Amino acid sequence: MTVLMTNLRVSDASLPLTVYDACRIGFAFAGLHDVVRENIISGTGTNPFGTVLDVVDYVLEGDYTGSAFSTTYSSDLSGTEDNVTVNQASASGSDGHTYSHPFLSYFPIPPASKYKVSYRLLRMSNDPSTLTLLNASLFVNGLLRGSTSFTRIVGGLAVDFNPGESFIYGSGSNQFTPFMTEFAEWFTIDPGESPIGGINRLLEGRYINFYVRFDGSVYLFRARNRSSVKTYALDDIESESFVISKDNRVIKTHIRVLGAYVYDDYKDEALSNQYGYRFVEYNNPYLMSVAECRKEAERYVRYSNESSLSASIDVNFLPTLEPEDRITVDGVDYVINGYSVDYTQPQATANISLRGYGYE
Amino acid sequence: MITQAESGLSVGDYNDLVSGNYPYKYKVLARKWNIGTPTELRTNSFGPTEGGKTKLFSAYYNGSTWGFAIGAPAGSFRVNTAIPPHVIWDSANSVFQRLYVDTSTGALKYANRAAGSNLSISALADAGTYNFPSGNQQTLYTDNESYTPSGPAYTSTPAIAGGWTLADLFNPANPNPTSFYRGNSFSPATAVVQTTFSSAVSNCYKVKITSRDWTGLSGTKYSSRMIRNFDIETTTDAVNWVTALQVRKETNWGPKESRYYDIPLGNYRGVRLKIKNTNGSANIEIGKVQFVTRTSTTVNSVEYLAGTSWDYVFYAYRDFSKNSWNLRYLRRTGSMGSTFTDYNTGIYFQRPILSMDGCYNSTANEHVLAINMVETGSVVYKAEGAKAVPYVSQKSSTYTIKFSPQASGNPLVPSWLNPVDIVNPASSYKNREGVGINFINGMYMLTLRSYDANEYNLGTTVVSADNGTSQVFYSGYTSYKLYTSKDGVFWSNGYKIPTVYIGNLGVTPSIGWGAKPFLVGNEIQAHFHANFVDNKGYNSIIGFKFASSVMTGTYLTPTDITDEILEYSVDKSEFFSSSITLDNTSGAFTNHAVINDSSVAYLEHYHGIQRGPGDDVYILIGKTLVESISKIKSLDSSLVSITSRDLLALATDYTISEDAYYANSQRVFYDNYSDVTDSGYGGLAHTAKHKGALTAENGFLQSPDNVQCIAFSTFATDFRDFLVENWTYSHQGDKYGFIFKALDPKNYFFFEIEDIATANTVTCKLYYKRKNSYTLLNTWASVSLSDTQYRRYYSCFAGRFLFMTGTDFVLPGSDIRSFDLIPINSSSFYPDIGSIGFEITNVNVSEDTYTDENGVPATLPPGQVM
Repeated sequence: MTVLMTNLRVSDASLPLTVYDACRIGFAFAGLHDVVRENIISGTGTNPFGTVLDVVDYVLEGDYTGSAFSTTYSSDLSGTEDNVTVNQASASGSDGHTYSHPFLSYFPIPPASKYKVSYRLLRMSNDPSTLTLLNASLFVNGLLRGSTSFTRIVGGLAVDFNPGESFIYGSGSNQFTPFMTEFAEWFTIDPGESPIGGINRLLEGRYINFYVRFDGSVYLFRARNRSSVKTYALDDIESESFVISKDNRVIKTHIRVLGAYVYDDYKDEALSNQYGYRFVEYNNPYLMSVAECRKEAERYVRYSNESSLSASIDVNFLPTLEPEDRITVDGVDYVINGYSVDYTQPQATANISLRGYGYE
Repeated sequence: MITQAESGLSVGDYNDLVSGNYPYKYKVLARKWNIGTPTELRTNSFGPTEGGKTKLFSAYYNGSTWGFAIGAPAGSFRVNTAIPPHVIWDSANSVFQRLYVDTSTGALKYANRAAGSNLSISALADAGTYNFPSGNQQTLYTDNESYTPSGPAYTSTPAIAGGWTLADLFNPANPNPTSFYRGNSFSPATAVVQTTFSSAVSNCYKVKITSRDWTGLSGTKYSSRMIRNFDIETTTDAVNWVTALQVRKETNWGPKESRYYDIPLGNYRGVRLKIKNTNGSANIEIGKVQFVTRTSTTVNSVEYLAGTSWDYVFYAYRDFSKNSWNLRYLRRTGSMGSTFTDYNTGIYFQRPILSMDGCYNSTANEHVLAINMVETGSVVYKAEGAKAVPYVSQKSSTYTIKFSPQASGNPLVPSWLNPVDIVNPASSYKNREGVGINFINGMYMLTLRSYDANEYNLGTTVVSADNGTSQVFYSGYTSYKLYTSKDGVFWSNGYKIPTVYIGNLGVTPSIGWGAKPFLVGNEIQAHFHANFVDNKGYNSIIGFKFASSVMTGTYLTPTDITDEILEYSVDKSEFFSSSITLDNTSGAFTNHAVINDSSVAYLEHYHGIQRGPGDDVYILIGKTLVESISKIKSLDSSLVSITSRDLLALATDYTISEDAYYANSQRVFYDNYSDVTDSGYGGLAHTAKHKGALTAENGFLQSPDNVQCIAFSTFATDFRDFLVENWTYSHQGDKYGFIFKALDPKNYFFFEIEDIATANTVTCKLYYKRKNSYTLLNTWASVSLSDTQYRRYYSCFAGRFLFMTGTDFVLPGSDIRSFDLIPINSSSFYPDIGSIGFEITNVNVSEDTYTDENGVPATLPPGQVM
């Protein structure tokens, strides 16, 4: 007789490697074990999210607290079965579809554990209409517990892991999705190469930067909205002149980013009205989704606008300031590129290099 | 922005600091960064009778005193499986406890002694015994290639004329196969050479045939004279002969090459070869023919102990019947002895563990095992004579597994493997052994003995001044490496510990066990037991220690260099860097302990305010490594100028990978067999057909009626642990299933589902296919499976295979089938990594007639270093 097979879904047990994780690998390789992240979203509770993310591949991490689905096990862990439910939701809430799926049954879930849920778009074609399958995998303390797939995507995704379902009773807390949440398919360091070489290769085409903070931790960041942490008036400036430069050559108003399979554009109409239509195209094979391409294009546009404005001030050194802090000088917002300080006890005069602040 | 919480200052101090209302001050502190050359440690605490030149050693440090234990000689165990005893500190009773496995009984024994006393097996009576669960004693078979182990006399029977002499052919006293058996003319068409014995040779199960040594002669010619087609016949009474094996088309013999031929296990009185004259040569030349017997020994299958805390002792249990290594642990639930409870972690490895150690992190409440194990690669080929012989390439890799506790009394739950160091199996000159791990100063520290030598650096002979004996050391590139991690998941590159000179032995001695790091005061110490006897005839415990340094998190009181600073500036953008000019008029920096040009200093930069006399407030603004030192001398001044850069320099300049480093994300694939190319072939884009006319039509992978089909997924070829789902629609009478860990189309695991004639019931079978021959491993009859349960779930994890079924949106409930790999009795290794695929048999697998004469041989010897 004829045997029919279809819908083959395969996943291995490797940890989902986000760009943040890959950076951690690279920095840990050099002995830098503290890597500071910021999050797209974070919250507490069993179902804290509703935010529509601008990426379709992402992870959600958090702490699980509760009673595991079983409290007693024989010494030979076998033959039990458990499941976890993952809800698919649109921006306006759950669309009502709940998918159950199998999970590896060998190991119980500890009452206090770290979980990580990865959501990945399965791409089988360069035809966007076929990109309709989303895989969700649950890892508990680094152990793959199961995997399932959604057969369609409803608009943007606000998907979360809900541990209060079925056999798993408990709650999630300290949940977060890091800013560098999209997946790195791989991370490599060549023979004779420093880890920063691998990291730069990983981050190529993504507007992600890093520096080492005061305490030796590596701070990974993406430009974004932030509050001004310090306001200087003209009277605070010690040098005779406050130099502000504007270089309109670097401004771009329309950027197209070509990803691995897809591309997308970002156009800033207001900027275009001011400086004219300036188009540029970037190629970034590491980007896998339209949303990622659009977001990177937006970051490029904003950064081009930011970097067109530069300034330099001499002030009494405020030791708590760090690069990428937003400050306000004479009523205008800037971002700190860096500073240099010359000490002559009891004086400490800092020259701060600034660029424009490109977010509203 | 450094926040008030991050600054460590009170709200008032922080507000004063940023107010700008006070005079500024700065402060720069200096510490030693690099660990420098380790210092030798040595004790002569152990007498000559205590263990001999044993490799077994364990140490524990309770914060003030050491406990040591030396184990029994390794002879009672298999090579490399001697169990090092473990010493742990019993804080409740203020004694050291030594744990070891009794080689005669297989029981875990323990002894205790108060702090300050050394422990040894011979010196200390056992205080208790814990008997491992029954079944831990296993029978191990060892090949004996002697011709007649018991020495019965032999007689040979020339069966053909022509002056052939059989004596050397079967002569056990002539083991060197340079002698040969020659016939000047080969006739008749089938010749028989045989020998019989005066008594039976027991436990024979192989025949070994070795070609003669024609080195220096014309190789091709002599190779062609080696037997090609022949039958092996045996006799149990020296009268009646039975065909044990038919061998055909044996070619490409090299000089003195031995090949093995399996025969049924038995007690034989004789063996003979029936040679077919089909090799085209008039002469037949054979070096030697031998029976291979096997002897059985009972061995303990608990191979490694790793006590992580006083309450937990992990051990690796080798199940010889399955060729798997099962991680288990004993949990102390009361006093020592009978109150141990044995737990199975549920983890089974199909690759040998080479060394193991563990520690406990009380902060995270997790036990961490470090496991140095075989890393099996794909099939590689090695030239043996004129023949390319396939091997499963094999090197060592090191992983950690974190175990998290559940509620009290329940088993620990593992993470999965966190890679520390993966040695490329294709590398011929690198390896790692002897793992040690501890949690020190908020950081996991792991040591491995590292072989990075190449052929030009191997085998340096060093004569010991201690006792005049010579030993061969892997000099040059052999060292210990130190790896660090904050979370046990992300690990640093191996930092090569400078060569430890022990006496004048030269380098790190050859030891079987790792140098477990300990924090002793402000120093890191690592102790191991040398495999040599010193000049007093004593065994020595030796080791090394690092001086305190920031790198290992062991701090000494810093040196405050602020008062000597004449000029000071910092710059912060991509890097935090500093430039400092120091006054050296007093000569303080001429031979300074920290700021000097022969080591690396680490600076902490503080910025602060002075609110009043002695009332300073500081905030840390940067940490840097000194990169350059300039000494400027003139008639009236002496200056030292130093520049430094923050720790990002470690990632940009000071850490360079020696090897290709690779990490991949979880791989997730999907295939609906849709032909998006509209070409008629696109639906099979990710499926490689091997046999049968599989097609992809209308979103289905389809098989023709009653034809065997084999196909492999091309997504990846190296799946070890996986979860696979597909939808399968079959009919009663169909036989089909899932292929996994496939090395090639002739070597793989096959889980077969037979849709038998009984409604809603199937029979499942697990096979291993080797060289096209299917071996049935397990059968599950009457598995409930209705027509609507078309979902199939196959997973393999931690050495276990799991099969589940289900319907759409319904939990795959009652039809779970789980079993361990590999439930067969075999001394052979099976691949634990490979491709996945599907096989639709619709015929009995024994009817598989696919053959390939140039295929993979019957056995894939593991562990051959290429």
